[in-house]
This record gives sequence, structure tokens and C-alpha cells, in this order.
Amino acid sequence: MIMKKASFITILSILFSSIALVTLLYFLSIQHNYGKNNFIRMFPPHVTVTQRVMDLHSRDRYIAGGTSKYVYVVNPYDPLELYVADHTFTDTFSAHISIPPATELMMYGLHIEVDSPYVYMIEGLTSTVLRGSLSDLQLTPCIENPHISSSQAIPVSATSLVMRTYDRKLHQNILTKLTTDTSGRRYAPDILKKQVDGVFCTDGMLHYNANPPYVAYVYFYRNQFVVTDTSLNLLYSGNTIDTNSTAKIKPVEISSTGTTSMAAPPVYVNKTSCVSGNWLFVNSALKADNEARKQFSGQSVIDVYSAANGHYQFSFYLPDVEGHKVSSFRVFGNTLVALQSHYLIAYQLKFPDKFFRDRGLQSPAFPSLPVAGKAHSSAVPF
Amino acid sequence: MSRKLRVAGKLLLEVIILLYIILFVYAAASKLLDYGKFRLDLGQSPMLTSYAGWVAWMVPAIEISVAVMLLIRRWRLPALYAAFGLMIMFTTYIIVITRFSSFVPCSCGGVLQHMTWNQHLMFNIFFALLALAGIVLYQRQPSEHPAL
Repeated sequence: MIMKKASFITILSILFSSIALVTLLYFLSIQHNYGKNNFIRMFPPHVTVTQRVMDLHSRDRYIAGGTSKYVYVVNPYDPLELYVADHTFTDTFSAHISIPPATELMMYGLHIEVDSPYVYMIEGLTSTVLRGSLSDLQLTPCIENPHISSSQAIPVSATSLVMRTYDRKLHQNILTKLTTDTSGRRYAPDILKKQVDGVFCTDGMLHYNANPPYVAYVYFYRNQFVVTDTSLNLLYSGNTIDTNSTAKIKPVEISSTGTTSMAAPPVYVNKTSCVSGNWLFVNSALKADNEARKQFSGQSVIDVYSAANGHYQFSFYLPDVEGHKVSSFRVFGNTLVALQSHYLIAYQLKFPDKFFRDRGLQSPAFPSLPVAGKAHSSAVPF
Repeated sequence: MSRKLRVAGKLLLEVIILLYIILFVYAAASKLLDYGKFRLDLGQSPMLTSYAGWVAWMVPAIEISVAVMLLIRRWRLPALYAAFGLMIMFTTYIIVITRFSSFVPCSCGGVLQHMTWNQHLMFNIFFALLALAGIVLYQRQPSEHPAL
């Protein structure tokens, strides 16, 4: 006998109870971390690599769209000039958009949207929608008499667009689809839910994704987003991971002008967002419990959700550039392009494979890259 | 058992206990010296993020307690059992987080920072075996110190 029977039993029971305790902790953590509205973010290491920084010399630029190779940037004061850069910013050039002669456009209400293989020009004041191929940039009218009465409109085909409009009877923003060849207008008053005043409380961002096709609307002031098909039939209503379910805004009517304004600064929940393939990316304004204030304030946090069901996947940071946070961003393939003040930054995304494998998901847009996970860490409690 | 072997065993036991005291005091001290960072690091671990608050002070507290118990002769056996249990827990944690967790945290720095996860695993298993050897050696001692 190498040891007493009693101590052998003690050792065995310590062995098994120690293993059981940690294993239990693991299963508890799975439930806890992925539970709904538990405001904790998951940060897999090394999701982004900053690739290139380009100085645009002006803050007044926006990302019109992109392909798996190029990103398109537009100057709103010279919207017919398209700035094109590849994802590494090594190949940059500008291209001129031609529109039919005698097209009357109001320059300031004009928006360029690149949705490969097309480029659209939407102009709300004179209600003009032009479309052309990205390869030749010759735009021609594509949606006849669209009557856009909206600040946000996105073409979803050559004959239809989705937009956010104001419904006078309901006194709130609603989503509308306009199809010019057949059915005309389809109003979807049930998609956006009124909480306070109907206008500010429903304010948010309208997104369209071509493949797979869906429309997403992300609220600014509450932890919600809605996803519909391209005919505006509700697919589901999702929640962002924070717990801010009601818009914290104070609208007041200014009697002298008859307009409504904000009495207190609104509490932003979702600052900016975009969709790409199966993923919804949200730049949240709220700090999670497991983030340090310093960590959160010097970076922009991006939360990733599955567009198929709205489930939270994980988060990553985009660092401030010279103190400038991300003002808008788009994802093309595995490249994330962000505007941070007058800088255009390209980040390479390396999403952890394990995430998708564990959930039985595919990550088609993102190639399988090894997670640098075998690195050392002090997160091990010993 | 020959006298020589018994002396060697006793010496080995003392060495094991000394190693454990150094290990636990060093581990606990380096956590407490940079407590804020340790807490933050635990918060980034997918397994511990929800419990980072109390795990962050409990782990160094237990390590110090075990080290103190090892110093006191009559508490040596329970302390060796506790050390063994702790090492098994750390080992299980490493196995679970590297094999089953949705991602492996990578926050560089802290205790034994130049080790990879695998080296860490081997290190922990080695120490767990040392504790086992300690328990066996303790019980083989002539009963001048009654085991609890």
C-alpha cells in the first residue's frame, strides 16, 4: 500500500469535485454570457488588424458602398466625382459619374449608393432615382416618378426602393416600399414601433443587404432593431445586448415655430451600424459591465449580430485615430472600412472560427484564419 | 524503510512545501500588486467574465491562506489537500478554456507571463503531482506530528 485507504478516497474526491466545480462554472458561463439582455460583451482576441489609413483632407465625406475589392467615397459637395480605393488603399483613383443632360438635381439632397454591380443616385427633393453600372458609371433614370418623401431611401431593385416616411395619421415614422412597375406603394406601419413621440423615438438607420436579401432598421435610442424581407414583411425584431428598451428622449413642441425639438440630449444606444452578408454590425454607445471605462472611451465598440436571427455573436474594438471615433463604417467581405473624422481606415477582420463552429453557423464572408489563441495569458487564475 | 530513504523523503517533503509556498505567495502577490489589471483580464475570459468580481479577490486570498497553512505544521496535510485541489481546478480551467471555450482570451502579462497555455498546463499538472507526492510523503512520516 503506497498510502492509506482513507487519504486515497480523500484525494479522489478532491480530484473529482475540483474538476466538477470548474466544469460547472463553464456551463454556467455559457448560459450567462449568451443570455438575452445580459449586458456583458465578449471580446475574442485579435479580431481586427489595422491595415491602412488614408487622409481624405475633409470630414465631409461618406462611404457610398463597396465591393470585395474597392470602396467608394463621395464628397457631398461634388457628388459626381467618385473616389475609388482598393481595400489596401494602394490603388486609388477618382471616376466621374455621368448623368443624362438636362437632369435637374438638388445637390444637397443627393445621395450616391453603390450596390455592386450598380451605382444609384437618389435625390429626394426633385424625386429622382438614377442607376448605372459600376463599370461605366453612365446613369439613367430607373424608378419613374418615385415621389420620395424621405430622408432615407435605398433602392432594392431597378424598379423599387424602400424608405422611411412620415405617416400623418399615425404621427410616426413608418417604412414604405415603392415599386414603380406593378404594385405601387406598400406601407408597413407595423414595423417601426412608436414609443414617445413617433418621430424622434423611432429614429434610426435603414439598411439593405442584397445577398441574402433583407432590410434592417436599427433604432438610435433603444436596444432594438427590426429585420424584414425586401417586401417589408417582418422577419423578426431583435434586441441589442444592452437593457435600454425605451427611448430616453424628451421631445418638446416649440409653439412659436410649430416644430418639435429635444429638451434634453437623447441617450444614444446605437450610434452607427451597417449590414454585410449574414452579419449586422452595431457601434454601441453603451459600456458593458466587463469593460473598463478607459478601454471603452478610447475606442469604438462594434457588436456583431447574426442577421438571420438577431442573436449576439461577439464584439470588437476600433481604436480612436488622433482622438477621433468612428463616425460611420461599412463592411465588405473581410474588410471593414471606417470614417474617423477626415481619415478613412481599412481594418482587416479575422473572425474567430470557433464562434461559428460552436453555433453550427457558417462564416462564408470570412475566410478561416487561425485564432492566435494559444498565446499566453494572465486571465488564467493561476 | 531505511533511515536514509526516510531522511530523503522528509527532505523532499520540505522542498515540495517550500516550492508551494513560494509559488502561491508569488502568484497571489503579483495579482494583488496589479489588482486592477488582473480583474480586467478575468473579465475578458469568457468563462469568468460574470464572476470576475469575486473570483479576482478569492483566488489570491485562497492562495495566501494555503501558503500560511503550509507554514503551520499541524495544518500541513489539509493544506496539501487544498493545494492539490487548487492545482486540479487551474488545470481543468486551462483544459476547458483552450479546448471547449468559444475563444481563448489573450491578455498578455501577469504571472508567469512567458508561458504558453500548454506550458502552463504541464506546469500545473507537475505541481498537482508534487502535491500528491507531498501527501504520500507526509503520511509516511513517523507519527511525531499527528495527521488531522
